[in-house]
Amino acid sequence: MRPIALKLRNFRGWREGQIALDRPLVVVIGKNACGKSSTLNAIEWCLFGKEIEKKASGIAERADWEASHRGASAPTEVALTLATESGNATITRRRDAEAAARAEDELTVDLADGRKLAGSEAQAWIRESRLPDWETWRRACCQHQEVSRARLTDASDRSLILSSLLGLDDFDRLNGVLREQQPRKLIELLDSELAELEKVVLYRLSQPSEDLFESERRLEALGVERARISPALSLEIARAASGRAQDLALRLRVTIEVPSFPSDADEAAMRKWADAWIAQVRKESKLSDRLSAATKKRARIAAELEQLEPSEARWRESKETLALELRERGDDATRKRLGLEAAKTLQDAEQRLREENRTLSLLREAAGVLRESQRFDQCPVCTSGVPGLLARLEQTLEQGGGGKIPALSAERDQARERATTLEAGAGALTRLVDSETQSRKSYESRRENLSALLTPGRLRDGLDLLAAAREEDEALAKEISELETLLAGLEPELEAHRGDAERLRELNKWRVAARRAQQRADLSASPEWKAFQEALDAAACFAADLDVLGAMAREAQEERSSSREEEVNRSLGVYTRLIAGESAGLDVRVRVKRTPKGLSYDIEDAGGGRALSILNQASLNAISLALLFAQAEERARGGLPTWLVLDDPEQSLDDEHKQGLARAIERVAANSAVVVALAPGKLSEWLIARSALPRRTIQLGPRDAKLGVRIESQEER
Amino acid sequence: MTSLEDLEQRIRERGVRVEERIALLRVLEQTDAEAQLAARREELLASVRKAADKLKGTAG
Amino acid sequence: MKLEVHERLTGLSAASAKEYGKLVQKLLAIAFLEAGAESLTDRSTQGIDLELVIRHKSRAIEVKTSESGSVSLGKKDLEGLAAREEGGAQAYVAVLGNRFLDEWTFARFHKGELQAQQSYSITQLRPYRDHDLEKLIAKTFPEAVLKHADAAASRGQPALDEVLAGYPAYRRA
Repeated sequence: MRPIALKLRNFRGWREGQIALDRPLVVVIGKNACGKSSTLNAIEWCLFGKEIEKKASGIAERADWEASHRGASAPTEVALTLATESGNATITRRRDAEAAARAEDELTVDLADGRKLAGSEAQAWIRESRLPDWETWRRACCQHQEVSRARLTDASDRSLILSSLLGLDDFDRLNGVLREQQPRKLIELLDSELAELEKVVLYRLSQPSEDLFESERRLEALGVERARISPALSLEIARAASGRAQDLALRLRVTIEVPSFPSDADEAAMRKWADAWIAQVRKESKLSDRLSAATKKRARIAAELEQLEPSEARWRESKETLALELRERGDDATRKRLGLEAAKTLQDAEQRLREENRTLSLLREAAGVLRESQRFDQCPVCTSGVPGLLARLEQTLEQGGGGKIPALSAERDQARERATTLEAGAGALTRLVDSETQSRKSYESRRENLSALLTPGRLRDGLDLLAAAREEDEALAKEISELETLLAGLEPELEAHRGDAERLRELNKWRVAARRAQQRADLSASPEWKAFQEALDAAACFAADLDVLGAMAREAQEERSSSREEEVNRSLGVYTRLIAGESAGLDVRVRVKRTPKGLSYDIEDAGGGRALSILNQASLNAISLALLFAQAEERARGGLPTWLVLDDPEQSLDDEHKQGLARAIERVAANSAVVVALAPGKLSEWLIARSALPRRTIQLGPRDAKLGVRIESQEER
Repeated sequence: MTSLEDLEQRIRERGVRVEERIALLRVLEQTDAEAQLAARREELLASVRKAADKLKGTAG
Repeated sequence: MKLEVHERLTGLSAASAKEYGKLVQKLLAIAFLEAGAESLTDRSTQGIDLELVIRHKSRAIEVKTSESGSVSLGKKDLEGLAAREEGGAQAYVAVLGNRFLDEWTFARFHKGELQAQQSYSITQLRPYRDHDLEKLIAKTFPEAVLKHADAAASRGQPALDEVLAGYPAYRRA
């Protein structure tokens, strides 16, 4: 692949122009500031664009080389046409005048078959065409002063250039990529992960052991000797608890089924039974209920007994009072008869009193008439004279009023009092009867209550209620005493059982803790362990494979380095001698150094010492150019597309060196296209006049203020 | 012979983990080999860490 | 490995000091015999540590124990393993670290892959693991440790030699 033509628009000094690169040697001649460097830079910009900025180029001034020189509004555009095996292809890089500093350039490739590739496709085409990348370009394809200096003064740059010269830059890249992954570091990271995991896991595994220890301590507190703690102990405890439970049930006269545990007893069932037993025995024995009921009954009997005697006394007293009343005042019929008689007596007395009062009233009226008529001795009715009638009347009135009436009144009052007394006596008797009835009923009710409190059959023939009640009370007192004894004995028994239940529970916890400790201590059985192993294997394999590949790459590089060394040194020697001249005695060669990171390269002289430190500027330039030419020759020999772009390569060289350089350029241009920019002088003269190669000479004139770089003349041969 | 071809030949000659190493070579052929390998490296390391964390959880 | 096994091995290491590697080698030999090795030769001095036939395949095993998590292989070890490979056996470097998380790593020997005198982290040997072979002794090795570590700690190699002698397939070189 060779360059054919370069078209430029608004690039640095160029406004618009086109130069043909269709000869193995193209010489661009011009005085300072005519645009020689602009022309060579255009080739680089077209191929690499902003990549130059991205990579550490060491050519800082070129980072934005086209920006300050481009036209105000028109885009910058450079097109490089190359001859390829399938016809001409043109790479075009374009950048808008207003494009932001970080904006990507527009890159296209026009192919011979009419296809137009853009962007990443264009990039891919450039890559696949094996055109040099920027790093290769600056080491092996171009010559600028600053690059030349770096080529020899920077050890790692020098090593890379020599590696490239040996055709090992591909291995360098490979080694770089593999080294970048730091496979050993990854192994170290994995190992440190493993160490960290080990630490955490061991720490955490100690936790279940702590639980186990704690559980054993609690069992000891529950009266289990540490030496006796075992899974079998549960059965032993459960059996003892079961035996005691059976005895207790018998004593309590309750029917609860107590399991007897066989040797293969279910531990969970044992615990369940032990936990439930206390509540069950309490429920089934009803000791408290029974005690409470007996106590209450006894209290009620006592209360009834206490009330029974007064009740009986009250009834007897009312009965006696009634009997006395009857004895003293008769019975009810007598009382009725006497009442009737008293009422009749009262009625008669009242009648007599009324009659007497009427009589006296008539007499008083007659006496009044006599007094009024003054006929004191004449009957007012028959007018017959009755001497002293009035006096007799008044005497009778006086006697009647003064004697008879009070006597009749007293008689009547006496009769009334008797009638009232008899009536009152009848009410008192009724009350006494009622009182006697009530107190009897009350007494009988108390007896019934008491009877009801007695155990059936207690009140038997020949035993009165009170005796039966006392018997009942005694029986109750005995029952209460027994129940109280049972209850008092139950608590310690239940307490013992409670201890067993607790020991069974703790033994279960101990068993769980022991199992957990066992399980956790055997991580290798867990799926998480398997997953971790797989992840670790995958990472370790990746790291180890990268490591081995790195070792293989170094091994291959070393082998190739050995096989290429002689040939490359010969080529380097030829160019050095050509440029510096045989008389200079410059005999430099590549020295391969083996380091832990891989191979590195340096230049040494024939004596084995470091050549560079003692050389003058001209010799350094000669070696730098010899390296460049040798690389170009190697690339061409390897079938890689290559050409050399030389910008004023004659600096610091005397005429003898310039002559040698001309010969070297002629030699290298036989296999690799060379574009060289020169000021008019010896080198340009030699190249133009003496070179036998097909060549093109482009003469640049002074730059025009408006038109920019200007081609003054072109000549091809 | 390119360096990758050279390595491939060596891998096959050695006959150890051939498939895995050739697969890595295929990655190395890519222009973004560094990024791809770095991503794979991180992914593998992360999966180891994740699995380790789970294991720590199991143990604790 | 099981915590119990790790504790036993740690105890054994403390009790046996320099002899530990050989004791572990013999415990591994017991584990292989328990796993059904048809024949087994255990070497205490020069040569490959263990040579055995198991599941009808010949294996040559260089046994290493590691406290640091890495091992260094001697030139003679590698040459021996290479010779066994050439002789048709499958050669291994078997490494057991002393960490709780360490298990046996049976790294298949490949000529050119492992370099003499170079230190290899056990993790680095993982790509060469023979999981099937590791599985064969996954159960029997812990059992052998639990069963014989105490005797080995108190009486050293003779205690394990007595055990090995009880296996008809065992041969001492």
